[in-house]
Amino acid sequence: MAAARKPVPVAEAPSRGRYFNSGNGPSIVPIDIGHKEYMGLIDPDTAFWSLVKKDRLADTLTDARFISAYKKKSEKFADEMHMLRFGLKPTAVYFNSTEQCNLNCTYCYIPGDMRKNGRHMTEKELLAALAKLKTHFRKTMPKGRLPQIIFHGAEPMLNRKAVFRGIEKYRDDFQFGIQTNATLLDDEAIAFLTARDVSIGLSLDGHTAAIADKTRTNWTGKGVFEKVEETIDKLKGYHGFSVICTITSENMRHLSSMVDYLHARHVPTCLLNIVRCTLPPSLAVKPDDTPSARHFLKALDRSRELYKKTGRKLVVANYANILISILAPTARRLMCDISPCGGGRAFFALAPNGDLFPCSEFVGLARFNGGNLFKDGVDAVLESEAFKMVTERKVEDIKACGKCAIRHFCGSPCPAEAHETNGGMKATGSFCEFYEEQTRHALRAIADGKDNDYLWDGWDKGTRTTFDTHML
Amino acid sequence: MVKGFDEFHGELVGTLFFWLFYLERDLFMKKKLETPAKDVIASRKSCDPKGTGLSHYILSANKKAK
Repeated sequence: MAAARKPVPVAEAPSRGRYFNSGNGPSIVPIDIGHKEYMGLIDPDTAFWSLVKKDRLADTLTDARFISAYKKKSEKFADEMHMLRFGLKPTAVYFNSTEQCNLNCTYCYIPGDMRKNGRHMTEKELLAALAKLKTHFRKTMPKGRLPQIIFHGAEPMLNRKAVFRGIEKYRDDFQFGIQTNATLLDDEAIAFLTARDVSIGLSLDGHTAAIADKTRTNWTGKGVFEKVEETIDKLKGYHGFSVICTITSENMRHLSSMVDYLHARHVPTCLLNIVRCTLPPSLAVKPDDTPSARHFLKALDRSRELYKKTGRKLVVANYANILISILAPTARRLMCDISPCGGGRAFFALAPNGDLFPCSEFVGLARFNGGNLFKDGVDAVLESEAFKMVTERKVEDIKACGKCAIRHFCGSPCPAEAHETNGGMKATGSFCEFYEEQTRHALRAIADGKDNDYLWDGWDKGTRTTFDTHML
Repeated sequence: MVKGFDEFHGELVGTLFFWLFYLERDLFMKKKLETPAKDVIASRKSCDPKGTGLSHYILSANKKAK
């Protein structure tokens, strides 16, 4: 795995670094965050940020105390980012226990033929795979933490018996989750999963059948909204429950209503994920950057309004993750919006035949197959050329991102999409402005002291403050 | 029914307590509103990044290793 260049030690540097943006002084880039009073000041390399009143900008940039306070910390922050970006080992597996799916969603990144005619993993294969993964993670996991196995798409509930056997047998060895379209989640399955603390993620793209069923239907074109709604209501009160809504051109105008809908149903966490355009069919529902960002931010504001009105939060986890990446970069939970992304270095994906890919987005793309769990073992696969194509994709190497101040709050996702649709690994992801607007919104929320309204209660448990305004 | 002194005293103390509570809260809010916005806001928290990290899927449960 390629390491990013570390900062030059001060002693070897050409200047004492007494000024911002010259000699060996820290680089601080001013950015417009769209706030009436504040500008952002960001060191793009360390992800250090501050918000400065617009009429105090010049004074702050020439304030020796400010430069000195930041300089004392900059090397530590650089090390922290280096560890986050290049020093992690995988702790999670997206476990595809079947290639088949009973739905034919417009934007699915798994090829249609595979979803229609693919194979299931046998129970024996599934248990053998979990045994292999247990052995691997035993030597790599930090003490006190369990690796995570997420049974993922296609539709894992089509291989229910084997999946549930795996959960039962290895319940003390992994933290399990399942991402499902909910159509096969009956009462017995819910009881089984909730009794074993399995996290359950459901997929739903709209607050009405007319919207949700535009992108998520079965192979005969029939929508599944009612069934998903029924399951959401059954899961009310379960702590490990979330809903993923994929933002497309079909539903982006209704995201605020979606937030209302999910909040009313006591869903604790949702993800409003912009569609990934890895395979051509998804381009048909690709939304434009500007309107999708506008509707997304409106939905975020709505989630806060509902919190203020009811005292109960619906956390939009993908946005919360960007907020956390600003407030506490190393406390982030999701690894799409960091560069290199988490694919192949924080997690990887397992296909039903044992083949390993950096992420589920790459399942079905043969050139990203890094090897086979049963034949090659995880360590060899992590070092494979196929994985390195992803783990070595850095924002510094992407022309548009190399000069972007917020590149470590965005990460230019997604490499699968960049490679398949945008012309290669050194191309940006498809939704540059969408991420830019999220970051600006997050910085405005911080400026207005609203950031905690968007975050899980206790999100910063286990963190320590390493820089604060009073240090200036 | 005629209230005894202790009962009356209790109600008085209770009323006084709530009055003081609200007065203090109002003063706090007033002070907060009057506090000028800071010229510079900056903060960073740190922790060990090892052991977590997913793609577009969030896990809410937090089961610890035995």
